[in-house]
Amino acid sequence: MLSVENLQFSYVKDQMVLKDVSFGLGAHDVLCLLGPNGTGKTTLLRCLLGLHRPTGGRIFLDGRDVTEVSPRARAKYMAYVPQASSVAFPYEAEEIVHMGRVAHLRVGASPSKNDRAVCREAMEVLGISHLRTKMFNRLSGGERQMVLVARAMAQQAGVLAMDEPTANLDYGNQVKILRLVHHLSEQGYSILLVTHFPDHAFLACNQVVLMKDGVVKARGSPEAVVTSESLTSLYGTEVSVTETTLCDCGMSARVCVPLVRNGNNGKGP
Amino acid sequence: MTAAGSSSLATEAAVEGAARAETGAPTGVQRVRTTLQGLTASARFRMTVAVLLALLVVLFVTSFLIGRYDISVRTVVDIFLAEVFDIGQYWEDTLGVVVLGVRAPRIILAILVGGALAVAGASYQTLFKNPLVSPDILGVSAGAGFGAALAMINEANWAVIQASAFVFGLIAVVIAYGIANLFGGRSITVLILGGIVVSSLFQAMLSIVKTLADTENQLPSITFWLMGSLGRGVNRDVLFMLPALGISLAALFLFRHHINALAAGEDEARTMGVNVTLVKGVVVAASTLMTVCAVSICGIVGWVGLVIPHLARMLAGANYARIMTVSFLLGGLFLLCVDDIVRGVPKVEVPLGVLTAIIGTPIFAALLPRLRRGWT
Repeated sequence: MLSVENLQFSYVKDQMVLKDVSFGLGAHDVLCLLGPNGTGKTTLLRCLLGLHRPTGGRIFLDGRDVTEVSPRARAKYMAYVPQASSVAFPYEAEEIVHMGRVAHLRVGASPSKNDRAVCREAMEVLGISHLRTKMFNRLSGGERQMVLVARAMAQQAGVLAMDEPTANLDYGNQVKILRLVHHLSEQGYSILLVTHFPDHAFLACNQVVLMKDGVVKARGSPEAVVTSESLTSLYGTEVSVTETTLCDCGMSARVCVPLVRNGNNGKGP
Repeated sequence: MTAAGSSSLATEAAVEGAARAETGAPTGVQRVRTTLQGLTASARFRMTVAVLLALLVVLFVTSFLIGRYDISVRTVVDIFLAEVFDIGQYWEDTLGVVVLGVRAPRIILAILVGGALAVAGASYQTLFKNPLVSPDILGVSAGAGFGAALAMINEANWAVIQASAFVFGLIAVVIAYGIANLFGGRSITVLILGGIVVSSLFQAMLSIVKTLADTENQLPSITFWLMGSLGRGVNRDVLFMLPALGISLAALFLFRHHINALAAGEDEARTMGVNVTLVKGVVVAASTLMTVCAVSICGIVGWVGLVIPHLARMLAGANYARIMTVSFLLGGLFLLCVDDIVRGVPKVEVPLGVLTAIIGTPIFAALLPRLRRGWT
């Protein structure tokens, strides 16, 4: 679905933010993009979404070079779920979802029955039909995030780019979003998930890319890539990745635990 | 009746209303509100438009009755019909001239100017994702004010004054837009900043012109122009305004859903497939054309472009595709109303731009509690 080849980007000449980024994303894939702050994750996302023009490299969506296509053409392949969104005016939740159809509207046309049906269905799938006429700005963080996902689904693009979708959400809503990510990938969506929680890699993803200083440090399956060593070097703080057996059901899962009390090896405070 | 007495009456009414609300018997307003909330957004929109249109038609006709010459509705209608059909003239010639040459252009201009300013304001507010923006945010009014004043101190005739206002209004926006595109990386914040900078530049230059003006005639006429008036509106102005307004509204209408998506922010709109550069250009060009026409015809009329869009949102929701229409009707209705008052007060002509604020602000304050609900 999505493939990125040797992507480069710099805001200022000779200061490369993205030095050489390559990875691929197939149908049903959920790729977890991990990396410390200021490492170029957001810049990468902005390049993919056409908000920045890459200074080098290529981006392919469905085998088509989209490095320099119109926003409209790109929007049909790739949709964006922002971390948080606000509107300055009293929009109803459904009107926000309707915005996702704008790439499919001819200039001058009104949304058709089909457009409205697509939006309604997206909200139904996410179980937020009851929010339709609620004011978007008065929804809770979790509900808003759901509406933004519905908007991205209404866009009917195969790839979803999610920028820290669980930031600002409580524990229960975080789990809800991760379940949703899993569900969407089963539906055939390819999902790029930028996150600050390495645990998400095990919980919802089948691909991981570790990024630091504008280059890809490692990529592959969560089990292969997310290890104590890799996380420790990625974030510069000691992290232990261990396998644990879940209480009663006998399933095992990997968890990432930062060593907070004794983990700084005498470095720093 | 003292002021205290009347205010206690008002309080009683409020208490009574509150009591009724508590006991469950709905007041008229509540009943209307519940009915409106029961409707789907599009049904509510259609009803709002129908009501506003009806009000506009009624006000349009009754506006012809205001003025020094008494006239009946029937005569007004006949005077209009006589232009097309063969109707025996039973009215004085002066009356025909008053209706067709004086009242008609002024009434039509009030609607067009009010509508144009309101739509321009609604467009900018949505584009800039900012409820505080008004149509002159990019410097149109300041530029036009300078242009008009410059022409006035050069003893130019009215047509030249209008042309000068038009040209300098455009120049101001072109400079603001140019600054943003050349140095601001096309950022919308820089565009607003550019507009503010250009506005203050032209306001400074206007101040210079004012100091050069003679205080007998020129300075008063500059001051009066800056407060807005439809008093000099003639049919030629209508003919000038109509095509400009038509083109602008058509362009905004074509891109209404794209403009609406911009309310989610420039970046998000782009990821949804909106060609932000193009849509921004369309909004700026159309709003500027409408505003500069309005300003060059009737001077600076504030308030309408800032507040009417908010009232429109209150009635029809935030969707730009809808508030575009509602803003136009509401803006036209409001400015016609205010101009009728200007015309109705005998002997003195209160400046239009002053009265819009004086009448509009209490209305706005009264409605603010409802408005605010949507912002938080």
